[in-house]
Amino acid sequence: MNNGTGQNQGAPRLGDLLVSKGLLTQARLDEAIALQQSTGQRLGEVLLANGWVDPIEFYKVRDSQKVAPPRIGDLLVSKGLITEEQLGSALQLQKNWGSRLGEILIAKGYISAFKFYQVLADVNSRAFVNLMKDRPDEALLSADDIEIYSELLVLPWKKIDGVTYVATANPSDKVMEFARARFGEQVDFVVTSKFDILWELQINMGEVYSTNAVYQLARKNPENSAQRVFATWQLFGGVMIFALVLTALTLWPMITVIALNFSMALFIFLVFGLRAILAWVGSRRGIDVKVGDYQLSRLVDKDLPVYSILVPMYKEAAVLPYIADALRNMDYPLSQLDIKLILEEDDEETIAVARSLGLESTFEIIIVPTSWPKTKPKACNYALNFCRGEFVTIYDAEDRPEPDQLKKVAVAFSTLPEDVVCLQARLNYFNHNENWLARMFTLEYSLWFDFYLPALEALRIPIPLGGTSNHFRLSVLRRIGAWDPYNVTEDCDLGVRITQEGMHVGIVNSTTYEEANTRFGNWIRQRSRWQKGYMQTYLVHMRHPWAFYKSVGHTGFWGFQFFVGGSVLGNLILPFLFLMFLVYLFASISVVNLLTPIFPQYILYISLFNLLIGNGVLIYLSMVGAFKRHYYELMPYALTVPAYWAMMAIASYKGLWQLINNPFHWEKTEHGLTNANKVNKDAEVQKAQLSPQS
Amino acid sequence: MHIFNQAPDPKIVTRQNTLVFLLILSALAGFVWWQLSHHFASDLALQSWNKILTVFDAFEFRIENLSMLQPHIPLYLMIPFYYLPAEYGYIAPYLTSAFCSALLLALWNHDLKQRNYTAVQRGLLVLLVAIHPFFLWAMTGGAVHGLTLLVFYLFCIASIRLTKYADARAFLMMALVLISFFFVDELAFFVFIAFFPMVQLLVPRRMIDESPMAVYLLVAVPLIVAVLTWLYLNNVFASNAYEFLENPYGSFRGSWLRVENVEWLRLFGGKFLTPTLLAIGLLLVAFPVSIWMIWRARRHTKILAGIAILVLNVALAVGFGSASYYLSHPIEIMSLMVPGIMAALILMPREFNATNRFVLYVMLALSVAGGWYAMNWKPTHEMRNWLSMFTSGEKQPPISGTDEALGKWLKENRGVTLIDDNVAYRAIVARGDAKDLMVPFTKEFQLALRSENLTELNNLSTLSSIGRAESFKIEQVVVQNPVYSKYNESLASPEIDMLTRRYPNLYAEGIVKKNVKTEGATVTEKVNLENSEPIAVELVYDDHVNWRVWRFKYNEELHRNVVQCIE
Repeated sequence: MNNGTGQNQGAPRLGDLLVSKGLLTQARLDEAIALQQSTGQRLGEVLLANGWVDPIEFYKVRDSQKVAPPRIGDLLVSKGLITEEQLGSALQLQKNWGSRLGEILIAKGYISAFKFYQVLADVNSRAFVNLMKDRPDEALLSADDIEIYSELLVLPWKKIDGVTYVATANPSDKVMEFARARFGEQVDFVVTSKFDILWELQINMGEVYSTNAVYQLARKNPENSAQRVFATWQLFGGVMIFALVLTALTLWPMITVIALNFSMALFIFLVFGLRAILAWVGSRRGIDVKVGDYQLSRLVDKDLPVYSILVPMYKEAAVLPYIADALRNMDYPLSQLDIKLILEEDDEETIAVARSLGLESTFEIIIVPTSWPKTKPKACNYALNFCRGEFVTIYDAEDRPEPDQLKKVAVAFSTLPEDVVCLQARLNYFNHNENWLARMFTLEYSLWFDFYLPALEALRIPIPLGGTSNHFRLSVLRRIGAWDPYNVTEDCDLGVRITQEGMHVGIVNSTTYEEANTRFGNWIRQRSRWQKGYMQTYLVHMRHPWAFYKSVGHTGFWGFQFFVGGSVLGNLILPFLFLMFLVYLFASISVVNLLTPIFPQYILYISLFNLLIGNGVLIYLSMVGAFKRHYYELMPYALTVPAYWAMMAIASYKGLWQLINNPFHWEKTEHGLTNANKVNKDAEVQKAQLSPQS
Repeated sequence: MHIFNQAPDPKIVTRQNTLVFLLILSALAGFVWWQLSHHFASDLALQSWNKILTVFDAFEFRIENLSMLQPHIPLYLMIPFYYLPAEYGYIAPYLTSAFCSALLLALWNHDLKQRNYTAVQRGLLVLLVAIHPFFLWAMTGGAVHGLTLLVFYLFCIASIRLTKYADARAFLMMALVLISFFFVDELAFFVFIAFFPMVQLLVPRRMIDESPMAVYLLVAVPLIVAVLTWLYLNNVFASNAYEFLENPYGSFRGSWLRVENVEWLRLFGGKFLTPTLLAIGLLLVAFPVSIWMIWRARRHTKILAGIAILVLNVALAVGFGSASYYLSHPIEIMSLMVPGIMAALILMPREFNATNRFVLYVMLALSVAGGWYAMNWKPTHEMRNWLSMFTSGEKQPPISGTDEALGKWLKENRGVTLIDDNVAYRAIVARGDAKDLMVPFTKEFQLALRSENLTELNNLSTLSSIGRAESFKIEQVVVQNPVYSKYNESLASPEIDMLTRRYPNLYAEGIVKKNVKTEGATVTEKVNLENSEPIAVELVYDDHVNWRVWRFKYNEELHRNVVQCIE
């Protein structure tokens, strides 16, 4: 009897083996053989359809029975789908990476995923199903299992003759265990491609994913969601303070103005003080060096986990090839990368470009259905459902991360305590010297990411994460509700929330280079969003100040007030200070004399300190930031930083207006405006022309 | 690996270090007590203390009243002493300086410990440094130079870090030190000018190759910020950005006003090369240990460069200080070699070998002897007094007779008094407080200088900071004998007092009403002026040498009327 499982003549028969192992009685076997003869089915199919044998045990016995199962690599070569050389190369990579051969072949682009999975079905003696044509039975799908579907790459497909078939791109014991747990003993599987599963999930579960992406945090932890902009008491308190100030201004104008002036001066003084301390702490040698070259050199690729990368994009077709290149060049096993290009449903141009690029199967396109609010965090939340990595990170479309960043983070995560759940890479700009605005932006980021953030980590002050290159432990990220889709600086909020949850954020010594904004209007749009987001974050976490104080401690609490709160309020105060200074410098004596009474000596001293030493120190720190980055040519430009602060003030007022007027509006930053891309491309062409091979 | 595992710097504030600090402080305070018991009191110390008294006893406390004419940080450190009983107040500059010196030695002890020197070795080294006359003079010379030594030590430590790492922290340390230095001691300027060209020898070569501009910018900007800050503050508070350089009482110009009285400046003022070479010679005499260090470091290029830069820095600073008529004696800058040598010892490889250790101690002991010799070379008046304290045991009064007498008289005869503390600081310190004294920073004094005639002083109206009219009644005026001041070498600022300059006959004739003009005056002023005559004045104090005090006799009823009128 040939039961179709590929056993050789002379080898013990499958039925006998099952009986000898006690998995089946002789009577059942006889009954099954009778059924087989009458229906023409395979023996295994009869046994599994009737639930007479445990599917897992059945496949184990069946597989052990095979004398020389055909190797998939050989099969692919024999079918002419890959060459011998490609197989050799993939096998070599397999030794290093420890991934499955199929994953490597697909990741390297040696074979299309569709063809590979067809062959995989053959190897498993199972049918290959194209889910786009042969859709699964929707009744079998459950919203409760959506995380398992994407993690195991499995979907319930159909129930035929009492047997529930699951479609999987990853045949394994885990898949069968899941199938049994959900559908009982009478289960079997068919093979499909990874893309079919993702496509089907998006078609069938899109609404669930979309709803979760928007409301998950608000439902789980409404107090941490910016869906409500102001808490009642905040609104009431704000109005009360405003009314009190107005009343005081009417009744005691001079004293009130002096008090306001004093408050501003003292606040700015404390903000300066905190920044000076942060710069000092952050200048400690190797403060954020968590992974050294030695550790990196000892790393074995086989030990690296699957790493998910989210690349949210909206109307950024122009920069798509660059980020694809950058990710391709990451020093990380391609087969262990799970890259999600997250595109909005209505962004047809980017979708078209993404498809036309013919990206390797490492890149998966996730189309986010249009829904409100249309923000980056919502898109990321949506895509998070499809992530399979142990870790996940975000890169913006214009990002160029250092190639070893993922490895460094993986090593750091493996050595750091479990409560360190997020690592932020340093951010900087590749077009740092393009124009004045780019220089200012670079000076700011060099100070922020190379000094301030490592110091915040060392002092255990909540870290406002940067918008990109923050790496998470995926399970924790999901547990805490991921990003707040209503917060327009969801990264900043998430960093604070992580600290509030009793976990830690670290800074890692690897840099991602971004595109600095080079146009004034574009910069204002971007910065106004950031400022609005900082306001949202501040308001959210100050809904329960005492609880926040208890959760982050006094250093964390006050650090948050003056770092996050200070960034916003400082910018809002700035125009008043500038104005007073200009009046003092240029107005007539009689006008200057009007200012004199509002500067009693104690305010005058603080204000003079802020003006001279405070600003002097900040300008100097900007220089030191550029120096640490070896951007020597930018250092003299630090002297013009006050003009940049004035721009920040404009953006802050715009952000404030939007917070009241249109709090969830996402001011889109246009990318791909830099000349650096063209310059780089020209350089590449030139390099290619000069190389001896050419 | 833990997330917060970056190796922190070893703790400085430990129980052991605190104990060491207290021990050193006790010893240094003992020396100060011995010195003051020999009645050595420096004019600089008296001037500083006078500043604290006049500012804190003024009707309204304002920091700018400390004047923009000298660095402020030493004055701030003296403030706690203001609350001591008046008779002990004048020890403030010495104790402040001793406190900073003790801090320096304790810090050095800590640094030596990090270099694995044993307790006995550290004790011996600290002792040999502490008895060096340059150190003792800097500590007790009255100018709070203990703080200068401390800051210069930190400057050297920052330079060492610059040599070793040239990282962001090194530049931040250097910036912090340079900004502090400028507000601690005006010497910072000369030290910096001498140091600036040598920066490239300190930092790694690759850095200079990559961008010399970056290195020089990072080193120069902090001092530029400090100087611009001071210019701006001078502009705000003195209405002249260059006031600190132009005012004859400013310490930023050093001894330029007293060239005739200062031997060093008479010989080398305005010259650069000769004083620089002389300074090198004096340094070798006072610090032969530096020669030994250079010998020991001959195989360590960086260390050798460091020590050479130190010696050159100090010598060049002496050259610049002499060329600009600043220095009254090279020791003012050469005392910086003490912390320099201390820092260099941190930089040197540790002396494990007993012979080398012995030679080090011997060379330090020789430096002490050389230091005494160097101090006796063309000493200033105050240095001579200070040295005589050791040699003759002669007890000099801390405040000279006429000043002390005036101070005591003013203490007994209190009242609203016009007095120029730039010349009368000794008397004010002898008085023990400055309550009711109207010194040059007060509006009353400034009105007096602007008045047509001093008889107007019986009623001066002024505006307070909150815009309310206030009236003051000047009761007496202290005036200095213009002849006397010209011949007093010991005075730090031998100027004629400002009242005498404004009213040349004041000392001789007292207050005389002349040519009162009522044209263009307000009603209040007219009432004031018309009713102010006749005013009786009388000479109430005359020591027949230096000081006189003239007193107004007021019509109390008239005064009340005028006040009401103003209000």
